[in-house]
Amino acid sequence: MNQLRMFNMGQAAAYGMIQITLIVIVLFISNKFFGIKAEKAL
Amino acid sequence: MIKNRDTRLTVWLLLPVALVLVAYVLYPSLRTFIESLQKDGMISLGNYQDFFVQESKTNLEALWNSVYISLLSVLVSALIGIPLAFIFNRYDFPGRSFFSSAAILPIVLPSLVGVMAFMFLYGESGLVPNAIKDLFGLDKVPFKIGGVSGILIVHAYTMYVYFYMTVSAAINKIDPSLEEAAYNLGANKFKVFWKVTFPLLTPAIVAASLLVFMISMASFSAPFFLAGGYRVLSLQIYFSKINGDMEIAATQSVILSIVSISFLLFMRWYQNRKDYRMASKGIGAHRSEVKNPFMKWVMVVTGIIGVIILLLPHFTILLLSLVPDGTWTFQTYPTVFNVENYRLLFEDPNIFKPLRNSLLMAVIATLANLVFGVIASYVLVKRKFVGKSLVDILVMIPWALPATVIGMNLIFAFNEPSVFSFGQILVGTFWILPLAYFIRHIPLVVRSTNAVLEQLDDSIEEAARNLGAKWFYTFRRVIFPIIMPGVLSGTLLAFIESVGNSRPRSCCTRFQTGPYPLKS
Repeated sequence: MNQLRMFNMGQAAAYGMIQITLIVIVLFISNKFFGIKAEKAL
Repeated sequence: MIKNRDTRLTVWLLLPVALVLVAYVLYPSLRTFIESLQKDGMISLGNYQDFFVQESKTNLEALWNSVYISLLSVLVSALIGIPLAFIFNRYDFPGRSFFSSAAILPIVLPSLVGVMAFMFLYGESGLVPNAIKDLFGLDKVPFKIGGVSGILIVHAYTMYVYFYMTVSAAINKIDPSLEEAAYNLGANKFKVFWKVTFPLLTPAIVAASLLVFMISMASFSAPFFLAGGYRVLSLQIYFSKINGDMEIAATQSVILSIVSISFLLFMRWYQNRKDYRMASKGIGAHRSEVKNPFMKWVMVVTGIIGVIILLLPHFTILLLSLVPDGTWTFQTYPTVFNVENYRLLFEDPNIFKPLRNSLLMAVIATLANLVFGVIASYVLVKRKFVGKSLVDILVMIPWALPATVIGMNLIFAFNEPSVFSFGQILVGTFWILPLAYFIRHIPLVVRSTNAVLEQLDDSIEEAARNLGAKWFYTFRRVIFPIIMPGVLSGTLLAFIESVGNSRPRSCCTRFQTGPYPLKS
């Protein structure tokens, strides 16, 4: 586990945060403009 | 005349759909199968014999482990998802709406970074066990996740949502008068549930069970990171490929495909076996208000704890993303926070290029999915032709196949020039990944478009055609605007999956063309 921290996990996490943000934006747009509920879209 | 014109249109629409399915779904699978029959330069069943009778039994053990983990994942996910669906759809209490929305949070967690977050949260040096250890002055951490239990916890967290969503939808469709009639006839609560409610929920439970089973069978990130020594078939394929045992990798891929496709066919058969329709009067489900103040508080407090647990992995990723490289190694908790990782992500060309590659590949694959999905769905739903069931099954196969298998199929098919790759070697180039994403997400767009097209009355198209509109004009101005929500919902999901999925990448890419997660 501590060995895992030696790798650059921060950048992977930053990429993960961008992924999560993208998913949330896409769900928000689909709900706001096309009336698609998150449950249906997913 | 009109019939001839219609037949010609069907052929013109069907031709590209069939060509794509043969070239990129059927042909790669056949190439893997042929590879699995090669042993010492001869055609034989030797690899299959080795798989089942090998002395070390590693492959059989991996197959059994995959099935075992998948069955347990179904059970645990069902035990969480089904009661939650009942609580949120049958009872009313303060915060219910918020808690029910929060229950789908795990679905926005990308698989690879999700597993990473679990390791940092609940692993041996994880934040939660260490916080408990420090809080209570313990000598060592009270618990840690890893091995089979670690895989199960990650699977339960990410997959109970499928039970929750499908069972919630089914509960809302149940006509309350059916249960009221049973109560009026003297049945008790248990009997009403067992004889009326449960049979009506069966299709949803079966669909969710098989979905979870298939996703667990294909699971890669959780066994890879959380249980290094635990053999599952999707990992065995990857290791065989890394070791250069391509014939063994092909055999393992074929066996995993057979198990997965069998479950897809079983699901189709089971759903068509019985008619679960209700003669509903269109009355929605009603919720009973929780009146007991103590129970009300219990539910609210449990809901808040649940939301915190659900949000912890997301917060962990946020926390990790703010910790600069090399500042959190042997310390229990991170001490330095800044936005250096984000700055590097966008400013360092070596880091930004893979990120740009990821997004570009996802956009290309999604556009192809959009065009193909709409045409394929229209042909399947609105046109009559011989072999429709076969096309339908070919469309669904990429959904049943684990991503690792799709990656292997593409390697065997396109590691040499072929007519379907326009005489080029695709493996190791930029184009192999958009192709992998495109194949993987064909069913998403087709299924969501099918759902809307099936509800579209044929008379709408006929009316436009009778008024003199050409087919393409009718499609562009009448049909497409109506089916757009369905098309978009599948397309958006395909895009999200393309950005987040890492498994085809680990099989097909070379370092130079790789997208982001492989570089970190």
